[in-house]
Amino acid sequence: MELLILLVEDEKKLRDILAQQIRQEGWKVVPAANGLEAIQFWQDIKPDLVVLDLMLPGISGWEVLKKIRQKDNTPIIVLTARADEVDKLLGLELGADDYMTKPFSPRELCARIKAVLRRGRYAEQVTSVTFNNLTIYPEKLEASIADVKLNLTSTEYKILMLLAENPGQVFSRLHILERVFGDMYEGYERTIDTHISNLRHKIDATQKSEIIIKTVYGIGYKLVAGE
Amino acid sequence: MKKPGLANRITSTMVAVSIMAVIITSLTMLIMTRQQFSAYINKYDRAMLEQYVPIISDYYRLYGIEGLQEYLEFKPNNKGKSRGNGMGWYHRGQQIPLGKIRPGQRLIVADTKGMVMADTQGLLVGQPLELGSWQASSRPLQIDNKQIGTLYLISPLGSGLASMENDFINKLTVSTSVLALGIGLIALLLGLLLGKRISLPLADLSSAIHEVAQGKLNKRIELKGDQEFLELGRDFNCMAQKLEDYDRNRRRLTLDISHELRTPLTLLRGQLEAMQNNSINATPENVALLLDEVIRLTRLIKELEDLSQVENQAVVLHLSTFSIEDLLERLNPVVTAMQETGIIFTINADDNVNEITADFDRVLQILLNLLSNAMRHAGQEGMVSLTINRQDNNLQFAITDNGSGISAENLPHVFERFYRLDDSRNRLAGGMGLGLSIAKGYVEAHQGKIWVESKPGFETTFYFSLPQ
Repeated sequence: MELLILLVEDEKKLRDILAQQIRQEGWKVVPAANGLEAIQFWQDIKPDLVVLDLMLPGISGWEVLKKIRQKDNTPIIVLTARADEVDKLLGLELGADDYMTKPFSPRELCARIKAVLRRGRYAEQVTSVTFNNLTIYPEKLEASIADVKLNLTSTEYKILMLLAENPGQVFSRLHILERVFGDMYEGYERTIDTHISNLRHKIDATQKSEIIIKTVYGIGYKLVAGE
Repeated sequence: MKKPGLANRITSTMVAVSIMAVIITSLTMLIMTRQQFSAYINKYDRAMLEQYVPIISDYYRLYGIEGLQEYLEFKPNNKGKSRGNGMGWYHRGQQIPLGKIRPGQRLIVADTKGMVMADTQGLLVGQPLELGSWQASSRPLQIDNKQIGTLYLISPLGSGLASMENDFINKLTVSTSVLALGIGLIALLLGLLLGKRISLPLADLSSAIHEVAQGKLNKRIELKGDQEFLELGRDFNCMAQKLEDYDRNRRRLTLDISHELRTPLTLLRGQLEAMQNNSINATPENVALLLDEVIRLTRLIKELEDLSQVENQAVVLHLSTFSIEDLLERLNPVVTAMQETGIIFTINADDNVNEITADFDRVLQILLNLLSNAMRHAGQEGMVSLTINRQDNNLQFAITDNGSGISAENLPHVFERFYRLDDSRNRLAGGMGLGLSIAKGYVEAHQGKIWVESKPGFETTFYFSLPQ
């Protein structure tokens, strides 16, 4: 089904990049450049989710957030540039469903949108992720190769999920580390090697694998099809 | 309107006080002199009366009133020699010598009705006695306990000394004025000196404050003057030092930050320009390398933000109670990294430590920062241990590495931002130098304590405790 996302961001370049990324996911985007437009559009189009920048000219993101929350609980992902705003968000529990601090990865934003929708009323619509004969079931946090269940640790599951959602794409160790463990672990890139090595053993052990986690020399890893 | 200065105030006060002191002293002297004079006169006159009363009483008893006037008018010393012994009442008189009447002394005998019976100057005889303004002492003349009259003594001191007294008072007034003027001048000089002594250091201080306010933070003042000024000067210098340190710190921070930003930005720019002119292909692999630099930059921004929160004491804690296992599980990448580097990593948690109440992410960050630091210093084949135990109401964490240790001179600085033992800017070896200061700030935000002990060449232990 086609999702409708209201994107509120006053910086045009960033708005365009984010809109493009969201469209690539197959969703429809309505961009808004300020708080007034945001409230107007939200009332008119009733979006499935709002991506809301907090620092807006005129009516601030905070007020937009309050206005929307007074009416209903449309899922909202907040974008912020300041750490103290995050503290305020968490402290006030104004009802944002998630937040992202700038600078952030647009793709990460899409992943968060999916996650927030998955939690909400679209839970039943989220299907499995497949690549060749690998299937991942996000609700169950499970993965299998040709019906053989892989016994994965949560870290290994997260790495496999990241690679399988973007097959063929090269991920650096730092990138994987950041997406899997969060942003605190810079300097521990090499630990990814250990997890990848374990993951490969478990995949190979099924003896039916048609996927390969390939090492890209000097950079990182990617998931490709193959014997 | 300009207020009078401190020096002027002191000077004028001193002059006023000293002049007042001189005047009061003179007045006191004047009053005391008067009293002394009258007391002396009284005493003298009384002594004289004591002398004359018995003589005149005897005469009266022997001869009655008759001849008393002549008796008083004669000078007994001359009487015998000049007049010979021809007249009877001389002989009468000679039998009782009157003694020497002092020049200016006047004796008056009045009867009980106040009529003058005899007067050494012979002027008032037969008239009623009016003393008027004379200063006179008196004694009753008695015979057989019956008063027959009164003897008055008008002392030469009464009038003579009165003029002497006036003389004295005049002289005193003159000398008082001169003295007051002299002492006033001395007070003026002293006041000016004292005023300068007070106002000079104040003026120095004021101009120094002015300079500091205009940004000359290296301004110090010379310590001089009295105790209070020494203390004030020390305090000022201490404040200026703090400001200077703070300013230097801020400048260094800005430099350090730009340095940290410069390296990844140069890398990014170089790679992007190379892709622009096709000397490097914009393959997904090469782009992934660029992305790494962006991730590092992002992380740096995050750390700076954390640091600024810590330094502004604006850390907002999100407290929760969690199990120690949950916390330790998040250290998995550290455990893996230690294994890969060949470091023996041990975790010892007391049995009675199950739960922690703290900000999970912050405590994790503290542990990661301290463990990364320990790992760097332990080096290959080293040993790192994490010990957690409960001490009263505190949870104490100890992170030990058997690296080269920290020298005593470096020890006090390890928690300073961007402080690195080796000056290498190598990320692998040095980290960014923010980890320990952020850890310290987070521990302090929890009202906890953090400290370090080191045996150079042997081991280093970082401790921190969190109140529960």
